[in-house]
Amino acid sequence: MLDLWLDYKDLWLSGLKVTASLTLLAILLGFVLALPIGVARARNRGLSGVLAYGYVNFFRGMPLLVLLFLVYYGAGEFSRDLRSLGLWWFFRDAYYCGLLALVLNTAAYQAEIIRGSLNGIPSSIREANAALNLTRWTAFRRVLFPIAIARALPGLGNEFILLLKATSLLAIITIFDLMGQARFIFSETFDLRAYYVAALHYLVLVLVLEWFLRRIESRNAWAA
Amino acid sequence: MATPLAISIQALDKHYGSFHALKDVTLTVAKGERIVICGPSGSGKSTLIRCINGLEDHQSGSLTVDGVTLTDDAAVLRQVRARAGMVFQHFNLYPHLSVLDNCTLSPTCTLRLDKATARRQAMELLSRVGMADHAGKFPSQLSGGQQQRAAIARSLCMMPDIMLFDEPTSALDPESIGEVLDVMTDLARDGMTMVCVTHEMGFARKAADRIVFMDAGQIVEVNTPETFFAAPETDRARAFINQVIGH
Repeated sequence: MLDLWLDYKDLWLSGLKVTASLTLLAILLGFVLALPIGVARARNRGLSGVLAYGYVNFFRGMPLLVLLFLVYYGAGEFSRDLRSLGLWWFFRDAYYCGLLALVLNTAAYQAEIIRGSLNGIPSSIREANAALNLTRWTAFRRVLFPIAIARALPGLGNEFILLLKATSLLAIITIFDLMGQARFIFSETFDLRAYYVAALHYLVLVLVLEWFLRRIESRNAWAA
Repeated sequence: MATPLAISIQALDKHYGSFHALKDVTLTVAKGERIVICGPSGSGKSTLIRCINGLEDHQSGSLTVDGVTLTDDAAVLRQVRARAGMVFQHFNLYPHLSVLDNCTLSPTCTLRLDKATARRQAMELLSRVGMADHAGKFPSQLSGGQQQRAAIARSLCMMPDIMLFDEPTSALDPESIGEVLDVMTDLARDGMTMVCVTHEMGFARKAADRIVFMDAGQIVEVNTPETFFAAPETDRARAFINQVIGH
């Protein structure tokens, strides 16, 4: 298998880079989007609660592949409108479309994980916040958020790993990530080992991600 | 006009659904006075003390703390909580912060003390409760008694005029109970206005100016410790004391 890797070394490394960058950006942007949605889900009051509920269930209810097609091919239907809005550069690019679909999808799952860990904070902590006169913002930023994220880490880690592997779907919309490169190399060589090589790359990426997550979790020894 | 009263409770009523938790409770606490509230479990002691700083709301009657009458308005609640510090049965320390950070969080964020001042004040209070050596530890690294002493210091860091204790020793082993009661006795000697819900009758006898005995959501008897333990006026209190002291 090493020969297959060496023969196409540049392609594999470029695929690796695309998969890693997609995963990293989708995790980070997804988290930024998920945080307010998760908070709104945890509060579960008023319009924001309804909107967050709608968001989560809309995107959890849609297969990522379907979402991907809707964003990438669907955007073409509106190319004239998107051009006039100055957004066409974004939607004509498969990479951006794929990233957008990943972010919309993972944000729904991450929001639910954040909601669960916020709701799981014992009421004694909220009573301490009240008794110590913390403002709502300070209570959230300094107490509830750090405790919730520490508790959410195992669940978030799971979601990040699923997301990493879900990026392989983007090969279908012409992206040359690891899976895209494997498909290309297979079409050149008809050598099924191309997919084994791709699988090994994913395994290595998952292990690297897991190592990072373990390091972050170990900084929260108090949570034990 | 300034009032010499720290706390004034008038005809307080509280319901949890159909359960009548507090019935027509009237009690005043003078500045500097130490009150121990005792009574059987379910008698409304904790509910009463939690009403005093607005952790529980009430349906009728009035509650005034240092001249501020409680409403459900957030600004009023903040004023009351600034005056009345609370110590909980289960300490309620922040698990993700060191003891020192537990003590400086609200002083820096709420009272807007600068970091150095807040740390100095926290260290003074932590050494007063014998916790200075543990300032860098997380709550999970401490015994129950140590956690409770840290929680008392955290509460004192907010410079309250009144300290409320909600069964502060009920979750502790006998040795830890002693540590915490020593700290509370020291505070009492210092002239802090204190309202303590506790089952520690030794502490009540030693530190209280008055004992409030509650049963079934009502105040049954208010008396000095001497009279309360030697010759209680009500049969209900007598039965309770025989139960508690009897063995």
